[in-house]
Amino acid sequence: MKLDLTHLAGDARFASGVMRCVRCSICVAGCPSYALFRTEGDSPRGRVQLMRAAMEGRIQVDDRFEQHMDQCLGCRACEDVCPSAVPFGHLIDRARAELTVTPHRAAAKRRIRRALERLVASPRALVWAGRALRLVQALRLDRLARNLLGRLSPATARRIDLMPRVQGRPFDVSSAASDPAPTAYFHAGCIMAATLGDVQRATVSALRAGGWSLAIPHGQICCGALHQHAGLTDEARNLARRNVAELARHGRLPVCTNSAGCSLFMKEYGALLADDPEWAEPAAELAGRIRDLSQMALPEAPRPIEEVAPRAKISVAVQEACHHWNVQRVRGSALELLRGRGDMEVSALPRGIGCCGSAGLWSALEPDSAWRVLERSLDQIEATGCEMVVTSNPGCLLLLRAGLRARGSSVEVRHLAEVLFMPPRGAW
Amino acid sequence: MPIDKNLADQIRAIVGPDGYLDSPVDTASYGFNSYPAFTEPGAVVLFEDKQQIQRVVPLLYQHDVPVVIRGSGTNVVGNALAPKGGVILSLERMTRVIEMDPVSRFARVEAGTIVKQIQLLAQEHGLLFPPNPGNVDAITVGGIVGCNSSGDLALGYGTTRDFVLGLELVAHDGSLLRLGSACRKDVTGYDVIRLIIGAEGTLGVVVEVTLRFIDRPEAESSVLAAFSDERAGAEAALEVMGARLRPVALEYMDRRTTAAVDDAFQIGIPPGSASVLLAKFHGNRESVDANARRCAEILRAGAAATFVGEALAGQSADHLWRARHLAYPALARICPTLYGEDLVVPLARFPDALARFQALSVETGVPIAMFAHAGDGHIHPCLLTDDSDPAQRERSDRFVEGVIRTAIEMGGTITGEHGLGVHKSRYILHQYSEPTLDLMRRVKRAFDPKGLFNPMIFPIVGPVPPPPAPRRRPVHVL
Repeated sequence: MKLDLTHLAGDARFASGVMRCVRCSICVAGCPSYALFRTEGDSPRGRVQLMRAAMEGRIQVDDRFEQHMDQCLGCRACEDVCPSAVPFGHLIDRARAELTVTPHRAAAKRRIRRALERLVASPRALVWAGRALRLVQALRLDRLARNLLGRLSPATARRIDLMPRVQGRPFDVSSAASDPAPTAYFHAGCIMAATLGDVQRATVSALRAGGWSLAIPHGQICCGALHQHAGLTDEARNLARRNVAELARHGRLPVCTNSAGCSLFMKEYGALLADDPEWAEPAAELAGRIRDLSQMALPEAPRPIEEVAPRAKISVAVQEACHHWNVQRVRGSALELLRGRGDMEVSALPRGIGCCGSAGLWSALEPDSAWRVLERSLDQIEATGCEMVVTSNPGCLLLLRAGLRARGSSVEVRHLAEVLFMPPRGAW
Repeated sequence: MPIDKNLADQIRAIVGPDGYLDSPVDTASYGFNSYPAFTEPGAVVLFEDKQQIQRVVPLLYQHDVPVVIRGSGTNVVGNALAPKGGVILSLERMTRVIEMDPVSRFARVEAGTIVKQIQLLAQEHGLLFPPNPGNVDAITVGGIVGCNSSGDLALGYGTTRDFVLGLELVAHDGSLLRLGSACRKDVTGYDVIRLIIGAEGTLGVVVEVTLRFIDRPEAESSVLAAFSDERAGAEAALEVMGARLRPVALEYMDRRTTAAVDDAFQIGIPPGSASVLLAKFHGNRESVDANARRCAEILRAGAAATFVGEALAGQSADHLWRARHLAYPALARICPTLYGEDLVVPLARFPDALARFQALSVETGVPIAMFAHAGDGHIHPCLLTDDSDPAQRERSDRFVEGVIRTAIEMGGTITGEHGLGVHKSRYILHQYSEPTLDLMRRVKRAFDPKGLFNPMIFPIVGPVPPPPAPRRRPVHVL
């Protein structure tokens, strides 16, 4: 089926954003999907020009158009370097939203996408899914499935390889205790709460140790980033409204997230709900209160750890997630925090081509491509000779872990929250 | 206009299914440059090596299919736009450094290599590759060879032409012409290389280039000056040049450009500055510091200077230079359609040329922003317009025609580094008379008897003599 996108010319934000691109190509060199496919349609500039051509009725939207849009990893490196201020993140989300309303998308991918998006929007279902996955992995049923199905479908085998390894029991916000007289909120997210419960508990401990009293509203929910990037704008807006309400219950306090993707998206709630008279102002207000864990003032944390002999130091490479590095420009704060410890040799992981391949649901939908992108990141990690990679984004953490595990590497991947108060080497 | 199926199959057999694109969406994604016009190529061929080019080009030529060579497609006058049904020959996957010889100071590279990579390669060996067009992160070696682009350092070191020792060109019949050598001195036969450089892909496909490097200077310094008056900045450029300080770059930005650049990069230029000069010096630490200080003194002495600052050896001014380099895309923030003009006048006439271009802007009602490689008298007036309005398009045409006539009248030229492209091909008639044009046409026919290489550029202008054995004229549709 062919889809007509000429009505987008009437969408002022989209049309002016598309027209801003002067095709200078500054964005192309840093684009991970261009690096992978090496065709113009898989570069940011090419995508914007395809959107423009569709908007102007010069091309018909077909499977190939959709494929080029789907192959964007959403890292927003293009937007970060664009001298013309093309709002690429908004444009790709808008284009995908148009594609979502058609019966155009490949049915299998559409089903996977919808199932995952429904799951992450339901905290109860997520907790149960986390428990179930933990059990499956404890019984090694995933390995069994991989061995059986992998022979039939390499893509399925890759999906199982890249599946998140559950770390600890899920973090259930519905039973999380808030502190009296809170001074900050903690937003626990969706995938992290389900699969990285230990990381969430470590985050809460780190914040409390840093002197924060935490409110953990039971009604909080997935930030909606995954939905928005998949083109499900209405769902994303509904989730945003719920978070705006929940994260104002105890007043206008800073909101801590420990996921780069969530923090970037929540900082854009104002734009997401700008046309909603009831929610525009509170959404913009909340956006101004979003902080990454590394940006939260941690007066007593990390606890100064006595300088240890160089040989005893653990070598740590800090990965700056794309959604921190680009647009938000949260850069170097995790590195500085860890340098505060005396027992680590801390360096920044080279940015290289940027995205590690996780990219929200992309790695689940495009496992083979994700693996090709991931391999470059793994090569970079191994080239540093580090013993541990520290990241602040769940998608990166889970994918890098899975990739290193598949390679048989001994390099550990940890979230910043886990490492801030980790005892010195020898004690863990 | 789809390409003949048998021909497409033959090309696929050479480049593989991944190297041949002919879906409307894919061809549309190669139907543009940075120039604001869009075409519908019939197909795109993505090459991995020169042997593939040698096999594909004669096939297309035999079938009378127009071909256009494309690197990154960043040019602003439409040098790499395929006519409807033409085929784009993309060299973006040909990015290998074939040979690097730091002792002899040259590198042999494939034409799709990004210029920034060449600069970094030179830097690794303590060398410098001076061609430095604004969009250096994106442009390819083939692109700067095709247009003889140069950028800011041309003032100190010359243009791309001065840094090409040799090249390989695939001709229409697939033969490989090896021109020049890896030697710095070479007068064997005609200097055909100089003909190829700047020919905008109208003579054949440049597939490999041997580039010359020079020793990297020990130090560099920069001076930034802001002025309360636009002309004062231009006059100050002449004073700096007159002081024989030998800047390697001397750049000018007018009020609108300065505002757009500051908006994009927050470089802290005093608000309300009417013009800005940016100078760079290369040499040893003592000389660059002395030159920067002397330059700053000269600029401070001018009544209109509102700010003068130096970055001496060891202090980085890279953010300022990057901002200046990206002035063109930064201007896209303030208008729906952007055209970048490219005119050169003798240095002494630089301030007058700026004033006359500004007057033309007022006369035609086309808002412009100007930046310039001031030391070369090389001006980029950018039209801030909206092509969706036919009246504005018509005014833009009048402005372009006006600046072209003005530049020629002032003893200048209609393009310094962008080339003619589809945008300015017709204006070559203003600069050259018929005997010269006729010679150029005969040169073109010697390389491309059917007129199929980049057919929308220059040779379509004026009466084109028929080729020896005409079969079918290429179609020129924008």
